[in-house]
Amino acid sequence: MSPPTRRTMLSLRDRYEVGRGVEQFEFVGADPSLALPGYTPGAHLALRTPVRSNAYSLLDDGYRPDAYRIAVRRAAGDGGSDWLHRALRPGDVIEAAPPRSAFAPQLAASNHLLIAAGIGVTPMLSHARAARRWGRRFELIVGVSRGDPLFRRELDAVAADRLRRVEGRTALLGAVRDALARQPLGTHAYVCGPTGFFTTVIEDARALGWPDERMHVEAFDAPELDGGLPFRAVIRSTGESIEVPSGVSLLQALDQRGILLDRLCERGVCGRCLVGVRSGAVLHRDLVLSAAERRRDDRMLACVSRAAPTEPAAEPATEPSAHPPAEPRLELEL
Amino acid sequence: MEPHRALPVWGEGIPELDSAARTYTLLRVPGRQAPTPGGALPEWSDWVVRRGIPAEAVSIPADQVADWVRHATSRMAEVLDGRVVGWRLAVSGEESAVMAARSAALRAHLLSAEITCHVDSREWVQVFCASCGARTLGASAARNVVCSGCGRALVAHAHSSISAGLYLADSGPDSGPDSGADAAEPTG
Repeated sequence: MSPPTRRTMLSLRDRYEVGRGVEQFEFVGADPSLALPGYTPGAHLALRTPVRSNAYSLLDDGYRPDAYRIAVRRAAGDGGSDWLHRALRPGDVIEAAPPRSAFAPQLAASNHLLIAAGIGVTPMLSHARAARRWGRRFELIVGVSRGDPLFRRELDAVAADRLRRVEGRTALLGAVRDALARQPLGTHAYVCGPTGFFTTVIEDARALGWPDERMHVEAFDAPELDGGLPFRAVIRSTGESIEVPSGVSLLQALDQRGILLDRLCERGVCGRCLVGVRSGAVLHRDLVLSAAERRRDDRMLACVSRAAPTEPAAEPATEPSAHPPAEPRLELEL
Repeated sequence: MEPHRALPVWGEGIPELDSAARTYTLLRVPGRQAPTPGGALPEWSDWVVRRGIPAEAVSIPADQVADWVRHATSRMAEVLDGRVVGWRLAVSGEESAVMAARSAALRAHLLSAEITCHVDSREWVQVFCASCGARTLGASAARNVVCSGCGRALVAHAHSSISAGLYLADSGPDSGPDSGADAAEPTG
């Protein structure tokens, strides 16, 4: 039985190069009588290839789209992107999940600082185009490789007067620090790039007094995670108790009981396997939930997050503990 | 502690400030019967000095606070002018003034996480008239407040808007001309 995910079939209309090793793919509905649903700026489109499923940021502002446009870098070691470059031709049909928003603009913001490194520019194009359409104030900083024309024309068209292109990681981080230090109250910052890049940007922002609630991150890779400690999950509605051993994700443990959640990346990036948590402390290991959402501890991503280890009872250091720590436990809303 | 419910809950004692702040403004808006002149400011001032966080202290004289509440939006605009992300606001004093300052700061796009509030007196209540929408500032001890917009005698309810910084009020059962309502001035 496959997970209960809504699927749609898309047909590739066109593809062409937009940067070194990067091509833009334009999809329309395989059934031309059905209009493509609109989407929130910064949303991603999940494509199921024969190799693996990947999520790609949509490039337009999402308002009444005539097509779904994504940009794909041919990446060694990422079978899905490589397959798209190698095998997908105009007219071919591919299975996709509807666009999903996990990187939306904060509509209460007075200003938007968009920060991208390399192919991380893709959701920023969407944000900038939406900001143009709806009259929102924004500034865009993009890290580029020397001589790479990646989206040069598109960026100039949408953000020429608010765009700073920077070559080199050190120069980019310096430009970002300068920008973070002078943003007016009410600014929200959006960062997309490799994990090492956005981690540094977040550290710099915190050092400048930015609260985490003003920082929004879209990752396109996920860190390696350890197997984690065993814990117990209890389904609140049925009382069913499920053991989740080390090295097995909650998502996999639920699968084994026939409880199939929606999923795509299974790396804590796409956000599809979100489950509600009624009680228990969560060790969040995803790249989707905000700091505020994590603090609430009322939801988690079943693919990577686990129960937080329980604190051992305080006892004299010389005495062996008569009461080992209680088994970590989460009560789930499914 | 920040108010999280329709009825503000301010917590006991003086809340700690945010050590992640880059700069602070410490605002004192005391009531006339405030238990101490400085409220939380002496403790907060020591705190920012110990941590080396640049801060400025702004104190409004107690006899000017009611007027400050009536013009809180423009007064807070002066406080907020030219600030950049990293700045924090800490406000201590009379509840109506703290609520008005917080409301103005939120409208200027500050987040709750960037505002610290401390209330040490409740001498005034600023209400929103459910009938005409006017704002009126009245003495909190008064049984009723006359609406500055429609003239109705209003009863303030234990229900407030955190974003607007106002208590809800409507015309109570004794809303006639002899209701004993205290005259009050419009606030916006």
